[in-house]
Amino acid sequence: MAKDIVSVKDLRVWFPVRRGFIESLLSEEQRFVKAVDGVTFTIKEREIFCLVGESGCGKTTTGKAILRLVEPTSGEVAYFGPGKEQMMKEMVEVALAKERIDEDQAKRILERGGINVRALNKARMKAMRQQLQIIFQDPYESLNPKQSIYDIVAEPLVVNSIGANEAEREERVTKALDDAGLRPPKNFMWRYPHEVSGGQRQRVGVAGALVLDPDFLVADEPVSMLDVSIRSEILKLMLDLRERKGLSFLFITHDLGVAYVFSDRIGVMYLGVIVEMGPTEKVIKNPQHPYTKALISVVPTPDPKDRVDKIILVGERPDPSDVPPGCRFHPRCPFMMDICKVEEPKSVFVSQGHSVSCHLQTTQGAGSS
Amino acid sequence: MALLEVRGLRTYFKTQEGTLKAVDGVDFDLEKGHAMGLAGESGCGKTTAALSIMKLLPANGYIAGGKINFMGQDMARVTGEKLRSIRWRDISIVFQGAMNALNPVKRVGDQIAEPILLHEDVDNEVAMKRVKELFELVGLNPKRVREYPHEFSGGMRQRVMIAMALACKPRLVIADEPTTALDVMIQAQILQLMKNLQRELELAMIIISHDLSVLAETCETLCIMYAGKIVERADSVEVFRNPQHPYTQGLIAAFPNVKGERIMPASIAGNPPNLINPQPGCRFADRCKIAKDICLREEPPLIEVLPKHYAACHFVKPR
Repeated sequence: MAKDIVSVKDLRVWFPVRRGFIESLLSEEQRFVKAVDGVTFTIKEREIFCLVGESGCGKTTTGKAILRLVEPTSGEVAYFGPGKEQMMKEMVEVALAKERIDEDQAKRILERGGINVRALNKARMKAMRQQLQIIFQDPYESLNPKQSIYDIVAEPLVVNSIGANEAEREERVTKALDDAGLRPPKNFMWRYPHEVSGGQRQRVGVAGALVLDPDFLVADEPVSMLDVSIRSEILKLMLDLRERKGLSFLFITHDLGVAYVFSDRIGVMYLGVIVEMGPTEKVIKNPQHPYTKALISVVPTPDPKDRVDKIILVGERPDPSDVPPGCRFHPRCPFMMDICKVEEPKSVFVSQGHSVSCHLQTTQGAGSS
Repeated sequence: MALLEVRGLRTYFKTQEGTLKAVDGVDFDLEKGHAMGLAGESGCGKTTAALSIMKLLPANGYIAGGKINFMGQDMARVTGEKLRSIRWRDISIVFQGAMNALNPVKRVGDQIAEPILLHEDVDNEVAMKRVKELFELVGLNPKRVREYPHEFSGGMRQRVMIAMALACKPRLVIADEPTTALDVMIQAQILQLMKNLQRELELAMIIISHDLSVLAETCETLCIMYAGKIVERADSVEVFRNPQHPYTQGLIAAFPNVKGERIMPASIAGNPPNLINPQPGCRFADRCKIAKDICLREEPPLIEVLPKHYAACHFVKPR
């Protein structure tokens, strides 16, 4: 069985809602936008885990919270990948020296493995980010138009003071560009972003993430801004990187079609929580949650013979600062029952590794679980 | 007679490097109450072709040749007041990116009323009444006419854009990537709305998208464009069942299909050609898997391969 690389437990990211002057005088309760509200999953080594959902469901915030690009409010993010032992040892030694923990606790921490990303200080976090990198959505906006491709890709090296001299940096940049499929690297290095095509720009984004030699990548909608005809090239590049470098991915997308062909496991998010999670084949071919079923039914299909009845949900996703009580999905759910308005459904397993949070599972289909 | 007949349309842009032939000889017909899809990669000229019909080209763009026969007038020649009276009254457009197309400091109701007041001899009260009817038509609460664009979500803004396009009861609506920035669920809602409106109001529509599956669900006919030319044109079911041109086949294969087998879709290697100095012969030749010598020398004409199914490829023979 493959080892875990990242585990996320009960992660919450709440943003306080700014109150006006009058409101603060009336001393109303502080409200929060609950972007991520209790998300738990683990990603194994060499695995591609995909978070899908509508915009605003918290999938991007989850990805950013893992890298601490936004600070989580509560919960745990643990990293098990290479490079953690050294850092763990150092941290435990420091803690012991300051007598914050005793020998027993130190032992337990080391045994449990997994470095608590949230507990790292600024300098350590910076070091940690060499292992955890992100690819952004929009290759048209995430690259500085005034920097050459070399400067863009070399920037992480400069920031982290890696590479003794320019020649060493150039070597690493060359390798990253080559890994990202911009071959030969010499032809691309001194060009500017506007001089290359959309697909090549996204490859520059990938090279920028690869240059530090990470083990875990968050890919935030890396193909949604690209033409359909070149999307699969970028997806294949990422599959290839997993083969050659043993990378693991958290892949964030709203496109179930892409999730279906590309990922190993899928988590379907709705309003800050994962409502269904399981192996890709099971989630897409045998969806259990009404939201997943609706999402799959509305994916447009080119072939008229594949057309099925669409479940078009009314309304748009509700406001995450005003989460409905009970099951979050109940105001839009076609199968809503009385219990859904009051009680939040618990996650149950319907088959090996396939879990669903829906009252339909516990009330009717209890036998099948 | 068809509502719109486009023959040999050529739209060029003057640039510093030379003349860019964005649309280079495009023919199609559109009947009343029909929807046609224009598909292709970015930069293939699909938006330019559609904007030429309304003559909404940037300052450096011009119609270099061809005829655009719309209800008996050649839109390629119409100018001035005559053109203004046709725009929005007879042909309207749903722009890409509803956030950038709406004026952020003007109430949405007033923005929709603007073309009504301009084109029809009515007072403000009548116009606002029409706006409320339009809101209901597109599934928005008529009480919200006095709100500003930022108070609406992305999907609702797109509904506002559609209401605006329908304000003067046009005969032809051009929708430029109407659902590209939207989520799948909202996309399904908007597509359903557009299909219903098209049937109810007997609208003719031209829908532009790079997403073939979106067009397949909304359009009766499909034109596949590549590098400024139409390479295949047929009934939309026919295009998917029986694609003839290698480019169309490639585009269809590039789609992941959640209802089918789990296979990585194929991609079309390479980039579209530079349209300032396009290569002679077939423009798709350097990306085509079946290209032979003839493709580099001679340009294939658009021929009728099967009844009402046109394709432009040397290796497709009429049957």
